[in-house]
Amino acid sequence: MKLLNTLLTVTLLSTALCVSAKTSQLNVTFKHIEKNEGNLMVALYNSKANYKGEGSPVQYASVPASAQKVSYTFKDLEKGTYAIKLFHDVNNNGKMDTNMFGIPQEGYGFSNNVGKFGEPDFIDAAFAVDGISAIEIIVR
Amino acid sequence: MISTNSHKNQASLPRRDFIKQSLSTVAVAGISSTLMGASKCFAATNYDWKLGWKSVEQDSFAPIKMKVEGKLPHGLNGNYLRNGPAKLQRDKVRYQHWFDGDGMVQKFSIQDGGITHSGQYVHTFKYKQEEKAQRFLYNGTGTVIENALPGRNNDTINTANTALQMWDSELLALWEGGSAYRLDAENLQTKGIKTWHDELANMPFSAHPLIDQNGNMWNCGFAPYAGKSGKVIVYYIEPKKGLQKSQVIDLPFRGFMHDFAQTEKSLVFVVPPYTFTNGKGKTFVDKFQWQPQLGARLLVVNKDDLSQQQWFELPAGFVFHFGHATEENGNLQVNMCWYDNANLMQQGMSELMRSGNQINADRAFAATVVANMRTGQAKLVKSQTTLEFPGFDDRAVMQNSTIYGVSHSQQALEHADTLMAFTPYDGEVDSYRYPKGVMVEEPILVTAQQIAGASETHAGYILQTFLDVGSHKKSGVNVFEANNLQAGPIAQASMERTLPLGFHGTYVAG
Repeated sequence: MKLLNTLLTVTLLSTALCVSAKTSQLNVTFKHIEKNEGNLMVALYNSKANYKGEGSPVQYASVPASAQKVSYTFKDLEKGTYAIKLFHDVNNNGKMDTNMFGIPQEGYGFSNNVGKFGEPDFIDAAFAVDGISAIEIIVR
Repeated sequence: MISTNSHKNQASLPRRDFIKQSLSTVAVAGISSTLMGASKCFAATNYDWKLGWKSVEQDSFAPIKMKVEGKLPHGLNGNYLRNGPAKLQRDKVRYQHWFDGDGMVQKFSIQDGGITHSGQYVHTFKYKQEEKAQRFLYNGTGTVIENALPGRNNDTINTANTALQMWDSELLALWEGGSAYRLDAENLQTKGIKTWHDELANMPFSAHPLIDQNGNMWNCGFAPYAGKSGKVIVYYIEPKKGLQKSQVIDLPFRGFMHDFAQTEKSLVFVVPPYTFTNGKGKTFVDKFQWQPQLGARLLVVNKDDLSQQQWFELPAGFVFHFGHATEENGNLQVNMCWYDNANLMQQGMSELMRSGNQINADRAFAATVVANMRTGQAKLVKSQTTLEFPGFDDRAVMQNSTIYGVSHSQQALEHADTLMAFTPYDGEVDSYRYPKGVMVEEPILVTAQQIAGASETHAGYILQTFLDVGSHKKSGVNVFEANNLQAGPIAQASMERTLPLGFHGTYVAG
């Protein structure tokens, strides 16, 4: 009986470790989509350095902008702190169109819906993912 | 046809007396009331300055005939159109900065000796969204709104509230941070955003386009936030043909700019050391800070070749508006309303919104910058005359051209109360001071060209809107002979409907 209990405890602990290691999920709802054309190009970051462009996102997704509100689930995430940047690639040219002063001509957004006069800092866009999490982002 | 002289010498004097008498009733009421006991005295002198920044609730003002005293000049037929922030509050949320209010166009239609007023909000993207939601949704340029929606770009919060310009048979409602809005000049209905070129969508387009002697438009867009140290874009636009050329110019620092001047050959700008460098600022306005150690700069751009630019150093100062400029033999003279600091932007605007007063902001003085294009030296010559909202006859600009504007008398330091004609060349002044309790707005010159049947030598008329916040609250328009302001208005149209104070207007004859 003692052996069984020990085995059960070990199994449960390892399961818990697996959950924290790779089984968190993040459901993101994108609201206020202006045009139902093209795709939302969404990048999920788990570090300030990568968010600033020094590395790659931990995951990314191309989500069809098929309605005013769409959602996407990032799976197999570690528990941790993340931030999202996205733009709405209406014309499918693979980049966010801006005018000559760098003013966006296509929709975009950040987690926590922060950012005025430029891209927000990672710390302002950061949010926690633990188990099954959900956030909403306004596509401005 | 009645000649200009007959207006001036025969008919107008009794009219002037009549109007002056009528205007002075405010002051007289104040004096009389002191004899009637303290409480009534308080009532009579309790000027409601905040009325100048009272939010307009309804979407439009239906046309009403204004009461005319005196006689409107023969041949003065047209629409005097003015723009200004009017939606200053929704529910209990009040904007903190005058610039934040949604633009409403006021139309004073002058026909056959009568004036009819009507008004209409510009239906911008922002105004329509917020009307639907019945609350402010977006942060203003100087106000943080609780639970504000994020905005995509400049035009998300475009209020189209600053000025008006007729162009290609449309009335442009101008802001400065983003696009112009196109309106129907007759019914003031909004048609949509004006995009001059696909690549220039949502770019800043200033509220002060300049029309040159060939009828072409020069304008610029100021972007202190752009690039490494701020940028300005210059636009050259021809009627019917549209945008012909543009040029982006790098600034030496991120100075706040609003207006510019032109000579036949050049465009003239001042970059003040009020810079977009305060990273902690929560609003666009909060992000600026006064950095006098930088000094100011004068920029002169060659109209024929916009890449040819000449920079001059100036002492630290701040400028909203310019008068005329001249250029001869390499000597450039440009007139402007010069502030020694940017207090007006930093404190003055929020003070106005809170109290209706403006005591803690410095005034602008009429000033001329004289620049020697050969030596690269420029000097500032300041007058003792306070002046803002300058205008001038742009048909034939000369060094001795007169600038019309508003000024402050000693009796009313809080508000502009004086109509002023100032000639920078010799310092000559002609002015008319209103009674206490009357706040005045930008005057506009109606030239002989715009007056049916007027001779070419006719000096024209000045139209000036005012708001009386004394015991007889009213809004109105005064008409002055442009070459004799001190004689007072020759006609006045007024109404009990009061309007918040606005910024700039235009006169469309016809």
